[in-house]
Amino acid sequence: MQMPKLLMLFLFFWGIAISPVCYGYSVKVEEKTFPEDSLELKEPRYIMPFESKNLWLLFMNSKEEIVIREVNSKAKLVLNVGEKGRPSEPVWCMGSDNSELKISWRAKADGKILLFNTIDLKTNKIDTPITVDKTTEPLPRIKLGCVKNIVNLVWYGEKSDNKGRKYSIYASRSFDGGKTFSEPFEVTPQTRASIYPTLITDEKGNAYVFTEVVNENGREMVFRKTTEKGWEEPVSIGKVGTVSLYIRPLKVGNRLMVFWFNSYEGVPVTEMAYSDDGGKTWQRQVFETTRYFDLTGMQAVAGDDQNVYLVLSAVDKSKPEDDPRKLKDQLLFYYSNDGGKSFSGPINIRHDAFGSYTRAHLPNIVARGKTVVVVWNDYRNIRANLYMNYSTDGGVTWQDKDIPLEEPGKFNTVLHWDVNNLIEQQGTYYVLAHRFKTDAMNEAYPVLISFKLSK
Amino acid sequence: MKKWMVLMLAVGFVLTASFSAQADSVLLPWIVKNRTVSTIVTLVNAADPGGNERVRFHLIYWYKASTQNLPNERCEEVDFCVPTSFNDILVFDAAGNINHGAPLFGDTSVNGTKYTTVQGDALSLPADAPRRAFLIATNEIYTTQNCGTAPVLGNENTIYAEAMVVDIATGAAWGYDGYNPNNPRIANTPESGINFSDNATAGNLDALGQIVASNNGEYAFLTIMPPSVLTTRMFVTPVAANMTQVGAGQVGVAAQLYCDIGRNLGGMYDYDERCISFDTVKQVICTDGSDVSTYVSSGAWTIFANTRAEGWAYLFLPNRNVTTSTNIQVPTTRQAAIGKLEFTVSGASIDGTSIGGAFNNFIWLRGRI
Repeated sequence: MQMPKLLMLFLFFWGIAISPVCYGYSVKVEEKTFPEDSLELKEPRYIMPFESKNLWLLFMNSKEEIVIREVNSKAKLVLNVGEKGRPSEPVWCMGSDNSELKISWRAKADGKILLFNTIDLKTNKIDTPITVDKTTEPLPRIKLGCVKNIVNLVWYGEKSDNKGRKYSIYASRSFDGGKTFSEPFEVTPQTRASIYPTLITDEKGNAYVFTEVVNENGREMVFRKTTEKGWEEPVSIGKVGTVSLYIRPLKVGNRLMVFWFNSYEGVPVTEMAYSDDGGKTWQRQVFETTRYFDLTGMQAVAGDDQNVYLVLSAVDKSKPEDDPRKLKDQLLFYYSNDGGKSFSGPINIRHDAFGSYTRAHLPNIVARGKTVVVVWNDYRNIRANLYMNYSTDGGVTWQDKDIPLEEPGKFNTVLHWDVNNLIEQQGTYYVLAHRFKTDAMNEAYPVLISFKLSK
Repeated sequence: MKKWMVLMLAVGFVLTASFSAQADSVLLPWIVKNRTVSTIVTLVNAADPGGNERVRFHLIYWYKASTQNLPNERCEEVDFCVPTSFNDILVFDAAGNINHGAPLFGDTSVNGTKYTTVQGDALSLPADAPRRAFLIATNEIYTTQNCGTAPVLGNENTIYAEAMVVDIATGAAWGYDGYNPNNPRIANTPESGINFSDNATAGNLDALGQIVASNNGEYAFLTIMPPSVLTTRMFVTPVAANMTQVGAGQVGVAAQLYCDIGRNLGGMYDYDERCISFDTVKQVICTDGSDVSTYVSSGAWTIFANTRAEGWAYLFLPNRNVTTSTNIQVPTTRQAAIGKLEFTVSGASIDGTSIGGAFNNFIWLRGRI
């Protein structure tokens, strides 16, 4: 009896992949754990697919190291060795050579600085980091995009103006692969506040930014883009309520679209807008079925030019104060088969007999054409578990049973609240989460779960 | 109908008159009554009636209309008088768990007069548990008038009160001193002695900033410990010139968290100075004790809780609509007494250091400009 236990302990601490296991439906699941890494839970973490078969992870550990770890070999690079200041909010993009990783982060040393660096994953060479900005007092809410030698960086800063602190969105660009960057450009000038940066970088390296702008006359959703000719004038998409957390932009073919969560006089609702003329004019839509739904998660993806998917987790605030369902997040799924011009009503993708009384939130989503997969955090087993469901007909119909991606009720495994960490690589799906070592939920390590859909 | 209810009705006729009494008054904004939670109230009378007059405590409880204690639920009222005297001190459990609510420590009479209330000798809140309430205590100087109708010439700062909220099972406790505003009686406004608003008369009424008066531009700082370590509960009692309107749910208060009040940026800051915006408005009628998560949007709270770190916000009382639990829209006072309780029910671990047993930490949030 001792040997199996010792063997299991060995396997656990070395994070060796467990043989494919089926937890209740016809999907085989594998997982790879990294118990040697103690995650800094405050910070985002990512799966980075490089080349055709290789995956890397990017995260911060509890020693304030920015770690890049290859999944298969477990090779480890530390980005900020010897760098002063506490790092936060690492973000990444893939360089022109798909072994070139570009990372930006905010460090807080003598002041607040925005740093950038390039890592060659073939040689493990790490350059000396470049200071992109130390004038706007950057805060750790950063977006990064790369195409060929163009690098776009957008962030939220709190530089003072003559009226005191001003919260604004700034951007900087590089046209030499990140060796040099332009001076910070204020994307949302003359405002009271803008605090949520977003960024799309298209195949030409053009940058598209959507953000809420609060000014003396109210609040607007504003779009601004830059091409090789520079920044164009901002375009107002229209008046909005108080935007909270979620602004998700997409570019589907030539169509630009943005989804956002806002509230009017305390009544929450999700909205979207799209433009077919490069952002000059916008068509708005309100997801009326989301009125009173207070969002805890939002992700939007395109399967192709026609199939666009939106998944939300939300608490229904229209429930009475004493209704326990008022505290439980539910999943809401919407699909479009006309490239985002119109959307379905809410589709129920979760199947739990006590579903409205147990939490489900932080959905992650990936799609290819009409095949769409959603993984979420589910609390039907008290502990936080990962569950999955999928559709192969553009989100219209789903499997009639949810598929657990780990042994139900055994661990506390949690998805990140913002980063969409579900990817598909050559028919295999990977989702990155963190798993707590004990029920005290003080310390957690990365866990990468993979699965293939049934034929 | 329960006995206390009959008695309450019997004294109800003095309700309106009770707020015209001239005397010094103190507000205990947060009374907690539960089967295992007591609120031990201490009252001190320093008014010397002199001559043939006597002095008594007039106790006015406003308590939630049901045991649901909904944030926007109105209150019911019960009031009664008990004897006191110059330099007298009186201690009782407003929850009635200890000595069935009668005066504690063998203090059964004053100058030979036994305590007699709406419920025998008990001074506790005569309503089923659990209840939240606020209590106004007044020292009336009287000759033969009925309770609440004495034309008394009370002096400022002649009544003092404290409240100790104690969990009988665990021993965890918190407390505060009552709010006695600096509003000496003005000849033409005799009701000023029972007016707790922050702008009833000129002068610095709440010398310690006990009232957050956002109609005067005041706000409070609110820090929030990591939800993974401590639960934070907000205790809010609206304040107005006429506290009967507050208790009866004719006015309420809207409370909101802000990153930047001047820029109208609702939200809170996380541990790394990031503003997480939201537009959640907490509506309170009469009094309330709700977790701070109900002041934050669901998404913002999910993010904040997942950081497992601390955060903070400005707390402001904006001019927003307030709706009662019976769906009636009422005006907002924009003033309130606000407290913050940080607690655990079974110990905590803070950065690896274990703290045994339940504990409480209570901060009365101060209004500032």
